[in-house]
Amino acid sequence: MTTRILLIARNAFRGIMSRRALYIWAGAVLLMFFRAAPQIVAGFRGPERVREFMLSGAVAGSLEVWAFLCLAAAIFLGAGSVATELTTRTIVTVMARPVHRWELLVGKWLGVSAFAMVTLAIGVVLAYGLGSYVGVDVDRLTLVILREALAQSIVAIVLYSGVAVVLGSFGSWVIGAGVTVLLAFLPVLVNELKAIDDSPNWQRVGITLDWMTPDGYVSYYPRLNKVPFPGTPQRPAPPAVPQREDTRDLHRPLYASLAYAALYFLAGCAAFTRRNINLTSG
Amino acid sequence: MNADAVIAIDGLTKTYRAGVRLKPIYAVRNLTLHVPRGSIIACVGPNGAGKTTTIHTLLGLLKPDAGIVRVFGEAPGPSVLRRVGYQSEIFHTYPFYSTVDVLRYYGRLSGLTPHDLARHVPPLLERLGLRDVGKRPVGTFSKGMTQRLGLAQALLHDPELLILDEPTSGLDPEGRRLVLDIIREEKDRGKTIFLSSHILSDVERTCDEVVMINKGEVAFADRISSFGADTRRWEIEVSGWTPASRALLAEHQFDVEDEAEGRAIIVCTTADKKALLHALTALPVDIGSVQPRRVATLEDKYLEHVSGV
Repeated sequence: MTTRILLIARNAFRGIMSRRALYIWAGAVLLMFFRAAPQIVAGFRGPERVREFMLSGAVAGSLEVWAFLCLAAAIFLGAGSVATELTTRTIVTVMARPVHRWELLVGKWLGVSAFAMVTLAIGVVLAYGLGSYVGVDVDRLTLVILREALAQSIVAIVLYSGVAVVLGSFGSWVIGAGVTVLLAFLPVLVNELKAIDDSPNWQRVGITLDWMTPDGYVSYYPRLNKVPFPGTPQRPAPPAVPQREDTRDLHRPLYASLAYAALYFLAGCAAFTRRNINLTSG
Repeated sequence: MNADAVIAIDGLTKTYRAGVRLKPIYAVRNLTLHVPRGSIIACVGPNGAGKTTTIHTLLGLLKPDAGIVRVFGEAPGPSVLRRVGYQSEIFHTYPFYSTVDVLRYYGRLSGLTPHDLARHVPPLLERLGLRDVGKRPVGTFSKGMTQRLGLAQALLHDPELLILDEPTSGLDPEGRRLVLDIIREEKDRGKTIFLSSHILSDVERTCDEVVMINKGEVAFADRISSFGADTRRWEIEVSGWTPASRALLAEHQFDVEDEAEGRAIIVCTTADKKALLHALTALPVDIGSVQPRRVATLEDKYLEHVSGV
């Protein structure tokens, strides 16, 4: 069982690497450049007291953009992983082997998540290199915040790529990716619905959706820029490194998101196991 | 149900929904089919007859709407598929893999160990004429090479049952011959083979039985040996034939067919042929062709039952 899942995961990873990885990485580097370049230029040209803020913001911002692209890649590649097999008909020869359908989905999920995480790691290395190049100070507090931000990204990748894989297995990667993106933005709508005071029905819908869906993706990367903007009142001294108790509340939504990922994925596997595998024509 | 049947399909019905009103379209309707162990059975029929739907149901990709499908006595699923090798009509695989990678991937999925693969892959590549392209990406393959690779992955784990969907489709004469030879060799090794094909001459040369499917239903089924020439009876074509000629041959056993305008076909047994020919030479008739009696060919039956000609 494990062998088959790992084989499928490796196949999915290799498929992405062979065709799309370079485009994704090139796109991410471009986005990183466009996000960081103006702040770096402004930082070097501006007065001394602005420089540190701008350069620190450039590094944090570029990493945020990169992480967002990783998440987008996880959603779109996840949605396309089984859908493409249905379109290209490669799924027939795979499913004519002693492979359980849930093994196919888990393998695809692992492969896509692994690619997104490798991409995220590359982004961290590039951001670190950029930070070192422009002389941004990386202290222990920054690393703790970075760890939390990466944990958010990794959980989001696992959650949304899993949802995208199972939704894409219904045949259309467009619908799979679209519904997953909708799910990622649903918390905004949920909060709006819950805030409608004069309509209990809409509030109930909001509460139900809130119960059924995970908290959306929260980016912690802007917090990496802990330099105050010049002219603003002096911030209080940086807090001490968060202790275990402090991060417990921070981690609760992550565990909840992982639980949602597991539930959604199990439901998707059950549906995929029961249905016909109809080949699509693209 | 035949207890020794490797494939047992009873009353299989499969419909698809199409259009805005989701009107049901019958892909297969009440299909019953049993494939005994060690035989080669061909499923023939026009495009859209239901052959591939039947095969996909056997592989568990599609769930029957009605009827029972059993492979080795079990419902299709991973435990059964361990004993099945399948080649699709067009072998679609991952273009970034090399030939050896493809076989390694499918072999490992079938439960073969790296040691098994090291033992099985080189002779299989040799057998299918793919030895020299072991490291070439399959995305660069011609259609014929891809089809041979498709057969290689089906044979790789030495399955007891081979399900081949149009195995000679897209092959040149040399490739076709190779594939047909391999199919016969597998049969000689005791394997059961269920194949679909459009090429009736291949079916006649390779298979034991044929099942013709049309519009999702079995239109005709028989043993291949019942088609073609019957060497126990002969046809002698003569011209200058008159009613008097028949009277002169009264002491011989024969039938006359297609008698018109002085021409006739005389049908006799092998035992009577020599004496009858001798007697005919003494008559004022010309003897044309002498050939084994032709009974309906597979093509005749196909045209009759499937094309309605």
